[in-house]
Amino acid sequence: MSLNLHNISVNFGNLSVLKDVSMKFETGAISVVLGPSGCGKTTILNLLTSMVKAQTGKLEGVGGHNFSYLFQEPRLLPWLTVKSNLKFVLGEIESKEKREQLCSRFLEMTDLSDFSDWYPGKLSGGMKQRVAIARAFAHPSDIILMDEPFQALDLKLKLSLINQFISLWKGEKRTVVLVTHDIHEAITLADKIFVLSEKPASIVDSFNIEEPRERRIPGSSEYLKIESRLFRDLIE
Amino acid sequence: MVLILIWKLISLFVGSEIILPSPESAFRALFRLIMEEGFLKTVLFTLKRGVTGFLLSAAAALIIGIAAGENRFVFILLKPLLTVIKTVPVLSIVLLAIIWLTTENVPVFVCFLVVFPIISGNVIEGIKNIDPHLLEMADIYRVSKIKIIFQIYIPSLIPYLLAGLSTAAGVTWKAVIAAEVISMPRSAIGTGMQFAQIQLNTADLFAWTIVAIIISSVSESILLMLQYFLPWRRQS
Repeated sequence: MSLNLHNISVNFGNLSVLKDVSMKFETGAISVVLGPSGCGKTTILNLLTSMVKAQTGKLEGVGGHNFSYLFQEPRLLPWLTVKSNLKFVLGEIESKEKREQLCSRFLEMTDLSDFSDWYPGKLSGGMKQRVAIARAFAHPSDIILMDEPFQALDLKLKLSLINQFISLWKGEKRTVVLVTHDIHEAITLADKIFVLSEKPASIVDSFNIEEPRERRIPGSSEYLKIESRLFRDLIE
Repeated sequence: MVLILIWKLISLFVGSEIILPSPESAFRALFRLIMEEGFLKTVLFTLKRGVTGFLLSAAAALIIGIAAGENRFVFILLKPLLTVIKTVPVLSIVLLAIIWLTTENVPVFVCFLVVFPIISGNVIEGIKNIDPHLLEMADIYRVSKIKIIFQIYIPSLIPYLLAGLSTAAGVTWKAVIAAEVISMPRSAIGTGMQFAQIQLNTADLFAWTIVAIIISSVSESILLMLQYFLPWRRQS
């Protein structure tokens, strides 16, 4: 079942953060919420994990899910090895064998097998975020929430992590909700894009992207078409 | 070395072995004490009392410190109690303890009370400094409370705990020996000091003091050194 937000409004005291927002996040698709910095994008993720309650409106299909979350920072436990960091979120899996299997599988898919016994302190920023991605997929979730996880990385690293993420996702097809202010990230990843305005955030545009991901290369006509639409949405 | 030289000069100036024995006579007395049959037993019994009081107190301080760091109500209850324990003179505690307890247990009890506020204070400080981002991550990934305590709380607390333990280790021996001097259990460094003092055997008193200094500094450095053996610190 898809996740539905119906006419949601959220206020923090006097501050209105979300105003009459309706969104539908399809199961097994990557939905991107694009908006300016500080517009309340993260609040949407917090609504889904029930960390924030809406004052008005209705949430549908939110209960009973198991979430993975990719944060802006990797949020690894510094005193656990890479492998133990993955195991940390596998408590719900009873069989030890299965846990081991999941760890090795996702460490391999993120090219981290050789580093499984390393402590995070010794890894570079990009590698740490890769561990966080492996952790998100190893966790038995059906929904992955992402809060600008590629922001702190340089362009080349960002591209390679996005590609790695897409190939992992293609094998699993979990429901993904990504919030970002980065147009390129949105175009490269999204099946559907929601564009939010400045605070109090409301939806200014939303559309599906039908072009296959491998054809959304910066500079290509498909890419430019989407980009100019998003530009207009965000500037106006 | 400089200290011993100054000691020697002052003792020459004073010229009385009863008021200030020379370093040679103190070390001669120390050597004689070490050679005595009961010496090892005496030291071991004092060590046992100190270690018992120290460990019991550390365990209690850890549990209560976590509770107080997490729960405001426990903190409010604990705070005045800690202030009282810290300000009551050690000797009042010793004298009361002699009325309440057997001589054997007085030093353990006193040690417990002296160590408790130091370690619980450090634990509370450590709890305040736990990274809320890690707790949020664990919460979203539905990690069990027990796992959160053992894999986030305790490792985050370890540096604070070790610092507290090494401060407390120094205080432990002062408290234990002071309590022994008054309560005079059968085999004890404090009892030895008391006898030396009664007999005006100042050299012996100095010799026991040297033993106490050695125990104290060795235990303090062992606890300080432990910090460098944490695997995630060694690697990063």
